[in-house]
Amino acid sequence: MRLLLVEDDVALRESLTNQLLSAGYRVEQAADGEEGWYYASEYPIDLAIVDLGLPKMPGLELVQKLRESGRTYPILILTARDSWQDKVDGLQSGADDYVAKPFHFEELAARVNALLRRAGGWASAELDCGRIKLDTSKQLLTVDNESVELTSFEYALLEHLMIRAGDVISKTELTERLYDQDYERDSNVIEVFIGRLRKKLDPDGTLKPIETLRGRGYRFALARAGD
Amino acid sequence: MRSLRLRLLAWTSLLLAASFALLGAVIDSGFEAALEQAQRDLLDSQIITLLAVSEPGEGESLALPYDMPEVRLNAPGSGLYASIRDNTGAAQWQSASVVGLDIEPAAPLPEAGQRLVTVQETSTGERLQAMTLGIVWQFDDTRSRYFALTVAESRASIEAQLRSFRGQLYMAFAAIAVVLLIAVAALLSWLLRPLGQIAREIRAVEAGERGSLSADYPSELTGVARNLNRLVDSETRRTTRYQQTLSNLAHSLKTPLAAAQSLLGERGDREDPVAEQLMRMQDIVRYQLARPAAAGGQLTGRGAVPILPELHALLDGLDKVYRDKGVSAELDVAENLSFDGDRGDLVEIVGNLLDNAYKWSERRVLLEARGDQAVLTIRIEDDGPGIDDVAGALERGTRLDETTPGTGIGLAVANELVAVYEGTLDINRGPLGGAQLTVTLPGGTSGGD
Repeated sequence: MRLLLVEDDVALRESLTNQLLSAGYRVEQAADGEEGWYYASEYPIDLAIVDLGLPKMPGLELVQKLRESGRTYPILILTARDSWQDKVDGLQSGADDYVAKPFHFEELAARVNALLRRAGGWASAELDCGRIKLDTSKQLLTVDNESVELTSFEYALLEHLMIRAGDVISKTELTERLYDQDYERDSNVIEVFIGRLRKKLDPDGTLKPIETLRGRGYRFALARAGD
Repeated sequence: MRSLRLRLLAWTSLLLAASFALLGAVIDSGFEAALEQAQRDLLDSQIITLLAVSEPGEGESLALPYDMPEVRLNAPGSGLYASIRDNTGAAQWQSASVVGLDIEPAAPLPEAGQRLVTVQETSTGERLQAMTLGIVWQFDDTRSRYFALTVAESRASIEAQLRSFRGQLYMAFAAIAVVLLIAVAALLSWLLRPLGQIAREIRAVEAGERGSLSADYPSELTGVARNLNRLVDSETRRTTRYQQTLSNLAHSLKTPLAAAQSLLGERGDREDPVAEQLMRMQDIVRYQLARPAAAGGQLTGRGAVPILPELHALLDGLDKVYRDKGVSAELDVAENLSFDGDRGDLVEIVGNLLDNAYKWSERRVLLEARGDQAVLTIRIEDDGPGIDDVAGALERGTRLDETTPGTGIGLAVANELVAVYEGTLDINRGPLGGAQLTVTLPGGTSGGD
């Protein structure tokens, strides 16, 4: 998942970026509102984390501009001004949730996770596709109630596919959203990891959870429980 | 004496009493002297009459008629007495009215042609004014003899007139004094009315009902009013400045706090005691910040804030934040209800309580507001576990749930704010089984329903 982090405080921005990266997200950093708008316009973004007190363009204005330009992805606001009036203003301008400074990273991560999940149409933290279940809060995969170990990249890839279960996701999009390094875009790394995931999810080849649609991309094919 | 009114009334009364006493004494003695003078004139004419009816008698004596023309001289104890004595002081003749009375002391014997006025007393205690005229009676060319003619009249009528005059005088003085005191009191309250108005207006400024004192004062007070207005202005500016400084200080602390926390998180030590201290700092900052904001709202004036739009905005926001919980909130608020205070304070109070309700509820949250001219009541209810430790929940910075960072302070902040508006926050168990929080704000509504 590709996140946009707009925060003017260098120490906080870099520390958050590091932790978001180790949580398996791709992160675009912007130091002010205008830069944030640039990244939001130029890059495919899954979720934006926007500080309200930004130089050049206030966070509220950035959020409003994003919504007015038709971007519907979740927006999480960070705010030092944590009066209820400020929170309400932020939520009314189009943000989906807020985190008041200071905060535990875990709290931020949980909110980000929940917003991404929600955007994919999932109501709870467990992505339940019948025999395959992915608990996004604990980052735990179970197949037929057996837990399966994943590397962090494998987890990020599977989470991306499962959150949007049923949708076709292009290889380019997966590369863009999961990889920071541009030079790897042309390699067949995604194919390799899809292959590994298939082996782990479906060792005997009966379930076929991930479909390949030639020239279009991949799709998580198992129906969501309850659908 | 602390009251200006009492001071002035006391001084006026004292002054009136002193001047009336002096005036009374002067008028009294003047009137008495006039009465005495009138009596002396009467005595003088009686002596002349006495002389006129005197005839030379046997030997060198004077004879007077048995019936005197003045009837009072004939009736014993009538109050008018006459006598004629010779140069030894021996009585030659006494009027019939003197019968049975001794008049003491005997009047002196003046030289011939002289009049003497003296005060006598009868044996029955009657006070008399007496006039004695010394004469030399020429019986013929060679014989003459000295006589003293005395006419005395009782002072009873003088004293009766004096008493009646004094009574009238005192009545008049008392009436004048009462009228004057009433006039002074009326004048005082007219003079002091602007002071009462200043006091009322200062109270109104203090309560935030008006921004400054009016300009409509007597010239002696306009300076005071102007200076008070300047004081209010500078106080408001200073409060606003302090508030901004505090707010800026607190808010600018939060980003470094967040960065510090994030850096600690990166080191991987999740249970770092330093992180715990950082959260405490955040709570302290937030709690302390809620108070100056509220006080500022009072000084810089209030407005009637329509409640419904604010509650809708809060519910919309919280619905977004708690979307996963699927809380259904029911709103029961009259259309035209409004809150007489600061909008931010209202949103802060209700926001904290409502957030708490969403956080703990299973499915349902009820929000209702009622108001009349005197009281605005906002009730928030949920179907969660309820609050057992009520005192702890309202205590400063206490966390009910130690595992959810920075959450336990909401109720304490709301409670502080409610207290600033002199309202109450009650925590009970409601019909839904969870917590029922009731905020009562006195005089909170101006629209009413």
